[in-house]
Amino acid sequence: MIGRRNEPRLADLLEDALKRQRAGCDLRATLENMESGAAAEVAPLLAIATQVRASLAVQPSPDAKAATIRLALDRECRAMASRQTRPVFRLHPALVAAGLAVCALGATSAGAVLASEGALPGDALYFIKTVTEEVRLSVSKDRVVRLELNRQMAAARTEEVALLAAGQRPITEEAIERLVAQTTKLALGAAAPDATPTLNEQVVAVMQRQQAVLQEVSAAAPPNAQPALRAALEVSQVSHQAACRAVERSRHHGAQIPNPPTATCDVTLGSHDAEDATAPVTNSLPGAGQPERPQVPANPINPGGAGVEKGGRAAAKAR
Amino acid sequence: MDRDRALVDGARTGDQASLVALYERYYDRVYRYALSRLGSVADAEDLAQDTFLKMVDKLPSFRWKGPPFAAWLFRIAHNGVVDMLRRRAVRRTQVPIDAVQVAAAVTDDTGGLDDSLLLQDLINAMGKLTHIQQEVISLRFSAGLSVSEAAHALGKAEGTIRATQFQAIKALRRILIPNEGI
Repeated sequence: MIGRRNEPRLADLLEDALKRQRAGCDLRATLENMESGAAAEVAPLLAIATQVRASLAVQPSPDAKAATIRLALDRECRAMASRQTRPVFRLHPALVAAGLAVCALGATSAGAVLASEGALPGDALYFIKTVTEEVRLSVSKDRVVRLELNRQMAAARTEEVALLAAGQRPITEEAIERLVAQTTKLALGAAAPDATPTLNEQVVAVMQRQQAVLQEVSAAAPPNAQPALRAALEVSQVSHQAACRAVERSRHHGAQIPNPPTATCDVTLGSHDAEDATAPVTNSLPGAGQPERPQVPANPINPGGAGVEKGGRAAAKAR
Repeated sequence: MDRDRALVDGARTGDQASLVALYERYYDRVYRYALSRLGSVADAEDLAQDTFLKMVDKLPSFRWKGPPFAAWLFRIAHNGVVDMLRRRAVRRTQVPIDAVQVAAAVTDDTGGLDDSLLLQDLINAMGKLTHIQQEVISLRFSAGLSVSEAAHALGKAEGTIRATQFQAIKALRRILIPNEGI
């Protein structure tokens, strides 16, 4: 039983345990370190709090999310136009309308976006480049279009690492993290049942190029950079295998072959995975014909989660 | 916090990339907060949208000397929730929510609950808490605010937030596991 006199102390202990939980600390150790009696009272509350947090971790509808950002950008454009014109003089309404039209057309800060296209990790404009890509992705609903965008983004991340290496610039942790995250996203997208064989082949080509770049970079990199590069290469190899299987699946799906023969993927893997490279990629996978979720490591940047996949009023309003 | 500052300052000068990044950083949290308070997906989407549009309007008046940005933003969301509850007379238990079952990451087996808790059940249970308890649970567990940020957002002392959180979780345990009193 919790006595009222003890409640402030228990409230502090609970908050302390929640903080530690969020920081990834071992909860058992946290509870064991509590004074005797307190742990027994805090533990059940902590269990409830954990479940509450997990149950509330729902994802919003991508449609509603995209609609909101479009409206917010439009509002910002109008607000900026109004702030800039107010102190000087009143503009003719036609001029204001023309200004707003230009503003709406350039809703993604066209100048800065264009300037950021060649930016590399570590550059001032790199942030704009990646945000622009994410916006483009977030407003695309079609799975195949999203796969193509993800393919372009993975190719861009790969070339950025190659360019950094070629320019003898340091290959930052951010560059590798982004490459790994994008590769994971791409591999997950390649499992989409409606992806065409051609698109899946292009995905495979990106993974191949990625492995070549990573191996080249790894050969010249200092020992302390090796673990991150090796991990990135492993992700690329696993994703590559998944993409190969997606190619096979999409080929057979397109050809309407009920029992497709065993086929090999005509792509060689990096030297780290020579055994896998020579192994045939078959269609005798569990649930052949069903989209398979590749077993790639969890995306470290955007792990995602269960979602409420429903377009709501916010999306409808914007439409 | 530094990241917030860079993004807010960027957005205030009209940099849309900063605005997009702010929105990416906070949209999901505002949506979850609204969903847990309003119990309706459509209302939560409306509220998240209204909150961000108001944020754009009010951003020029935001001052770093005041509450942290997250607290300031959730104050807007909180006011929106209060307005919406008043205006639309939303009654959470009457608005069906999609049955989203999220696997719970329970690491301790002393809770006595099943491995998962339906969002609908949780929202129904939250409906039995006091308004301030609901606010604290939503701000802390849906929006992910710290005690300090939640205190700023609600205009309360940090000690009050900690005590309310404790009482709210205790009450939720009583509601969700009626046979095990504390």
